[in-house]
Amino acid sequence: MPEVVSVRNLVKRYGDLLALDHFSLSIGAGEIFGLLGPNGSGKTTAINCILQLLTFDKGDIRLFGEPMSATRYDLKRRIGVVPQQVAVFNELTVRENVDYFCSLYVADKNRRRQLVDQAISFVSLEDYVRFRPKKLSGGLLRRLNIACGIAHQPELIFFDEPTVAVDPQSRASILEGIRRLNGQGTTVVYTSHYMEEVEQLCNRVMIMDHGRSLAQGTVEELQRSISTGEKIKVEVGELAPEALERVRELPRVVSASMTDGELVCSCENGGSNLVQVLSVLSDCGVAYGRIVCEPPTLNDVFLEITGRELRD
Amino acid sequence: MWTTFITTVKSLFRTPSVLIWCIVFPLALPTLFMVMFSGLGNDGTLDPVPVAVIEDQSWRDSGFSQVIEALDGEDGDRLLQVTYVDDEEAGRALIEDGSVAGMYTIDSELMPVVTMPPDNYAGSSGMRSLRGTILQRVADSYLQNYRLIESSFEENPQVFTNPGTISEALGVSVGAERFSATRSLPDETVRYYYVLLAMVALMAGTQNALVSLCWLQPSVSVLGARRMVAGTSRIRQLMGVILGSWVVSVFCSYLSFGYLCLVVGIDFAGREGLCLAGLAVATLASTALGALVGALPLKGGADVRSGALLALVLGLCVIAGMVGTGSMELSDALAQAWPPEAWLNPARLIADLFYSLYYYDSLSPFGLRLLACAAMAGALFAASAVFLRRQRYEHL
Repeated sequence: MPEVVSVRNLVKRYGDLLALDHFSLSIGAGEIFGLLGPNGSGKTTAINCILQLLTFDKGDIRLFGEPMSATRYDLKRRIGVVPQQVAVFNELTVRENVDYFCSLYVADKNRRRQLVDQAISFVSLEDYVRFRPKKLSGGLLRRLNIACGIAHQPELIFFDEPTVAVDPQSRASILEGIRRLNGQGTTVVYTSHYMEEVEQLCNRVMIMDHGRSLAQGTVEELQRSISTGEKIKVEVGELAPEALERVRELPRVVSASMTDGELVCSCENGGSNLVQVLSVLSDCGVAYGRIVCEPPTLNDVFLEITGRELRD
Repeated sequence: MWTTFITTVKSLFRTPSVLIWCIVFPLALPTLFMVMFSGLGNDGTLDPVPVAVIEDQSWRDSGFSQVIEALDGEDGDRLLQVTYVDDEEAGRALIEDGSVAGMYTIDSELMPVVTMPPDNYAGSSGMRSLRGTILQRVADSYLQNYRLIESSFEENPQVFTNPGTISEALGVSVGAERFSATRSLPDETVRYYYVLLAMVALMAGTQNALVSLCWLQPSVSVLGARRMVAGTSRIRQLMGVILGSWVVSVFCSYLSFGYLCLVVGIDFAGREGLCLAGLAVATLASTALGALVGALPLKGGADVRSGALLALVLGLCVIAGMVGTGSMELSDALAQAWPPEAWLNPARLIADLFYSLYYYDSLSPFGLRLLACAAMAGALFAASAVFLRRQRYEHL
């Protein structure tokens, strides 16, 4: 798989603040690569450096195997950008906006007309082509932002938190659209602080914090890489303190607590944790109802690596 | 570049602040001027003053009646419009109903007496005062000349053998020639419209350039950041933006000029074409000024820059003498203290560009200032480019 994005030892400082600390990244063609991290972890800074919107202190950036610079317009024409904030002309209509941004990449007017139609159709904005952005809802605005970024059919697209402040329906539509783009062969770099989105969407994920890469791999690889295993939730109604203490004493149970009539146990990887927990409950004469076993999430990965929640 | 140009033009014409400063303001101000100057448009001419005269025997015996009949003549220099009445009561009735501005009667010594309306009489006090002064002046002049002739006759009767001496003594002019020192009839109000054109060129050019440049700068707007990562070079986008904002500014200033010519009815004395050329170059200079302020590394976004630019332009207009008497005095003082200001202050240069069309017959001063404006535009654009090149997007 040819390397589309290659970043080596990138360092970026804002005064005394180290925004990127020897950050490295490699993304292959056809991937959906997720950059996951809390706000301020350096995701957007990393993308802005890759796009040469920001200068950086040290490091090497290559796109499509070529060194990237602010004046490499040949490389920029192969890239699409969907920024975190909606960046469109408030004075232009939906169609005029998409056409303008497409024109920054495609000079031919006839070809552009087709591309604009396709982009508008892709984000389902056909009914709003004559609307100006101020008349669009937040979700529709995000879709317009995406249309402006993808209209020229780039080989590589950067999506920087495209679902912030978007309703669930629009979010699902956006994620589905990204999957379709990837299905057409586009490489996607997706940043978010929503772990669920990244888990659903991305082939590979990098977890970032304080400008550094903490871990990377597929979602499964990351889940396996930590000692935290499954999370067991058992509906028990009431539980005597002695019974709760016996559950906590089980060898692979890291923590156990009662929450809203539900016993919640965090366990280490491996072993037959569920069988052991249910055995203790039966011994103590506790009647139980619904049982749920959840594998570790990316939040658990982040928690174990950093000692704090992803959303802190 | 072409699509950036088209987009800039479309966007500017749909921006409320641009519509206000570049279209509404340039049309509203001359309309206001038109109303203000409407009373001054009669070129100094005055309608004949209506006056009542009691046509009794004393009137017929008085020499003053001949003077009044002469002033009531039918030719173009008619000063009085006489209404003959039978008695004083009829004359007072005409005064009270406003038909006449006053009344002449003849006293027992056959000398004229003027009767004026009372001070609390309703009507235009300025015009009433002017008409009363004319009537009084006619009577006083007759009395003065009569006494002069009378005393001269008593002292030296021989003087009447030479009519030229009498005319000289009475201060009567034997001839006058009217000529114009300018290429058209002097109209003081036109200079205000030239100042207006200068202000329109300044406001339109600076504001449009600033607004459209803010849309291109990564450090000022997210739109600018988005455009910076696009596949079209920044210089091409910049050229499209500058060209677009200049074209919009020229359009707005031409619209204002057309309104002055066709609606307000200002006569630019055959220099309309030069005015249009002046507007095109003046807006180029002001566009460059707006681009420079837009490119300065100021803290804050578009609103801060727009406010700073407005303050700068108004400040330059004040020291250029474009906003009132105090401003003109300040401008004169500054011009005496530091003459280069006239060539370095863009507002002053643009105002002088249009003044040179008004005050000079020769086109040399206009041409010189036109070149200076173009040079200033070049210098300001170059300075803008330096700031824009150094600018980087730095945002956490």
